[in-house]
Amino acid sequence: MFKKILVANRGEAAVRILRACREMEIPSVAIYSDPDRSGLHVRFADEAYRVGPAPARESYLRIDTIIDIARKTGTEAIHPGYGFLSENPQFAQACADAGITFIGPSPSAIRAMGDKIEARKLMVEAGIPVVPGVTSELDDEQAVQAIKKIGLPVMVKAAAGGGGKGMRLVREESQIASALRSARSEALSSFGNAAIYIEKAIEDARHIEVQVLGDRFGNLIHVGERDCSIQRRHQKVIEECPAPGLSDEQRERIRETGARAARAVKYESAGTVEFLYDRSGEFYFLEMNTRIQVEHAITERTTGIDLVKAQIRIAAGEELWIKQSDVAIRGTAIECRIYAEDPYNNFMPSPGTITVFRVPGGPGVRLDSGVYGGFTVPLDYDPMVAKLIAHGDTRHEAIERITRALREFTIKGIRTSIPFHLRVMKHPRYIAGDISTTFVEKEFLAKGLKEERTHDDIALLAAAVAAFRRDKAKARDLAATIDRRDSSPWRFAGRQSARRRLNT
Amino acid sequence: MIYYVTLAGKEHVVDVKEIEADLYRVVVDGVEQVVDAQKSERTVFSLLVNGRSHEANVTEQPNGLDILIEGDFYNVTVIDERRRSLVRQGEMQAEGTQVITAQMPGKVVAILAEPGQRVEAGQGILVLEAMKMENEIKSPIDGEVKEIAVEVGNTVESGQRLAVVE
Repeated sequence: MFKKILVANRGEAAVRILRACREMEIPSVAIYSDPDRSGLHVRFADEAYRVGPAPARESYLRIDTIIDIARKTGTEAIHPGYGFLSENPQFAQACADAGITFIGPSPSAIRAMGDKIEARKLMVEAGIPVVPGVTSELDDEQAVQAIKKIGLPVMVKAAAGGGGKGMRLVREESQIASALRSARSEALSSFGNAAIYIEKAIEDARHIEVQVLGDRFGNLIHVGERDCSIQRRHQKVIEECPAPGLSDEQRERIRETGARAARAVKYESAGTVEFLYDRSGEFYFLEMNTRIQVEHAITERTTGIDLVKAQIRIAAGEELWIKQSDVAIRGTAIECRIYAEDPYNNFMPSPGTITVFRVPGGPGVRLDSGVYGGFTVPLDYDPMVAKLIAHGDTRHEAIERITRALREFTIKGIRTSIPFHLRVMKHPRYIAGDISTTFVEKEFLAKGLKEERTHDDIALLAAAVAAFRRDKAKARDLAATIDRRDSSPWRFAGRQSARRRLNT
Repeated sequence: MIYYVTLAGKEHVVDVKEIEADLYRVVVDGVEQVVDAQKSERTVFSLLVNGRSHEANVTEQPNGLDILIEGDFYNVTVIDERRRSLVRQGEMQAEGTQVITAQMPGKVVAILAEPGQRVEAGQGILVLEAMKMENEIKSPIDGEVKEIAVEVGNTVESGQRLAVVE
């Protein structure tokens, strides 16, 4: 096993991986940018080193600095987490060149799947269904032509994309120019590559993905599927495992197809094959994420397999110890991503200092977060502050549990998406499992998310009592100050010493 | 003690009297209730009202009290009689000119309109980036851009003036 692991990430992702290191008793190294000196991940590691200033490009994306820290600390392996350098083949290559194990797939698998255009071609060759589209490198004019040929609606996507960044849905011709501009600019700032491609938009489809685990000996299994249809701006906000409402045959078919797609690139480590699943039960390859994913915890909760530890063991050269027939999903797990944003103000980012952070507990609840009360959520990174995961014997119980846990969860100082999650959990369509990637837009954004408050009366009472107690305490302090003015022992002592100084 | 408590734009008259330690008689808009209020954690009030148990997390903000009850936010302003008359006098507002301010801290990544340009309501004026997401700041009215107060690359604070549309 590795003698030391460096975690090239921050926040919740870094904390998650450092927890695995601690369980495996592997010494760990954290890196931090200037505002993250106070980050939780620094405290979960055995060693921690500054990697640069706030902007990711000058800190968490600095391959040279990170390799340098790894070398100086005697690091044997680097875990990239998700986001940042996790799908960067240059980074995986730089690790290999420095004689450090990259905990993840080979640079060639990252490259093949990272270039979304290349990945589509590979999948077509492997007989995996893909969404119709145009994939050659496109300038703006060619993109407009391609859109006309495919027919609206279309998706404009970053060739180097992933995680929903650099992606725009175009329904009307008037949106084309703005979609191209913003997709390119977001692609450039997120991935350092402005190339885009166009795909037919399959509307009202579900997002279902298959978790896979492979090793270097050619063993590859699927670890069930997840439904991640509850999205906003193409960012997942709620995920569940297993996907609800699939027949046994459909479930088996999508899992098998996912495993087959991963085998096509001789995949090793943990990875995810994403599909669009339409109303008729047909599905299309979307992309493969060559890393552990944010929502991995719901698979861990239902299968009992620790995917991060599995990644580490596979990277250390172990042969896969789980057989396909060992994988069984028990019950349902749901994850809510808690973002620092205000659901009642157009989901505006809400960075700032967390004043109160009270975490939920009790049966079936797991909380992964990288923040604490007193922590200032930096402006420079992803706005996710926590992942709340609840498990139940049935989907119904999982919904009840996560609702209960969301109500216990108290975060103040910043606005969070908790009220939004509560609304989804009691939405009849969500409860019925009638979900698709347009659910949030149709059911919430289009109708306008009005503030919903069921306890106005209690809020008024609490406010008045709190104000009364505050004013009373102030009056008492004031009285005490006046009282002390002539009788303070400090004042007395001060006068005494002044007198002594005068006397000598 | 009489307070004017505003919640979601509606003002309520609330009279609070202490009966004994942690026990209050509270009259909200003429309706009297007895509230047993215990401060249980640094910011948590445990309220017992007619035997019903409620939990309210109350923190003080520059613009009032932030209250969280079962996952929902209540932003409440509380003023007493003396403060209220002072506030009343300052409440006259200018009309017609719309000052667009930043609703969150962020970085200006693009400016989409220039001074003198006619814009429609909903048309993008500039693009702010925060937490890796771009947000188009739109004009609230049909009108003419009078001023763009920032430049591309500027970091802006919450509440900072970005543009003026008239």
